[in-house]
Amino acid sequence: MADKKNPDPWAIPDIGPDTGEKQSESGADAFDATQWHEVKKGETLWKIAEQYYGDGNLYPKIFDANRDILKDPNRINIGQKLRIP
Amino acid sequence: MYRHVYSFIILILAATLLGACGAGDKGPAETALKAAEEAINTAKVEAGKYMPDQAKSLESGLAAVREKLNKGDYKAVLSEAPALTSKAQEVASAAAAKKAELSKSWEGLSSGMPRVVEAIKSRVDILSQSKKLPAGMSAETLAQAKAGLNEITQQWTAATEASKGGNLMDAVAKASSVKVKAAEVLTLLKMPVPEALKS
Repeated sequence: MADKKNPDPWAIPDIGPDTGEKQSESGADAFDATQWHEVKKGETLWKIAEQYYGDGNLYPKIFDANRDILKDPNRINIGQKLRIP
Repeated sequence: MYRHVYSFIILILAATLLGACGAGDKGPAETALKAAEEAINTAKVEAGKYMPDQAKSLESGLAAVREKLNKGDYKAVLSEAPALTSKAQEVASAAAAKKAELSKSWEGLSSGMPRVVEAIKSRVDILSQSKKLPAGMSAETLAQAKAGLNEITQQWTAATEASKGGNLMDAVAKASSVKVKAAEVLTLLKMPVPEALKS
């Protein structure tokens, strides 16, 4: 099990009911600049951080911005919509 | 001979009658001018801020009518002053509508733009900590985004100051340029551009 600083890059997202899904931009106000990422199969916070920031080490930024739906940085669900700060 | 004398007397009488009629118009002409002045003074309060060209036009119109009064052209004053009063009332209504429109625009901008700026700032801060930038983003792009963020912050501060100073027109104009710049920076950062920044 990887620690918070270095989550398991191979951690496969859980497949199951997505109870903590965030609202998408649809219906949001016209000034909403929030960037969302929908988790796909095989993705980890590390990979997502690498995609948006170029540096997987910055994954805690994403984790912190999504603490309302994420309890563990190693456990993200396919289909979850994550806020990318 | 008598015929010439009668003609002369008739001419004198006609001239006196015309003169009397003209003098009789002086009072109403002054009243009409005063009404126009009052309407323009009322309109100027907001028109000066929101429709400066129209306010100037009213002022020059008033000066022209006043000049006619001074020259004794009361009929012209009686014809033009009421039109000026109506125009002043129209301008006052239009200025009030413009103020309401600008207030609504500013209300939307002042509640929405700080969130956009915050999103940009957050991304710039995070990318500044990154050891390697994401694919398709160069150090130069990030430097441009940082410069853009500084510009946005300064312009937004100026817009807020203008609003506090009661200059809504200036505030909305500055905020609109912030919108344009923010859309540019968001694009540089590969972030979504909110709908409000696309128009």
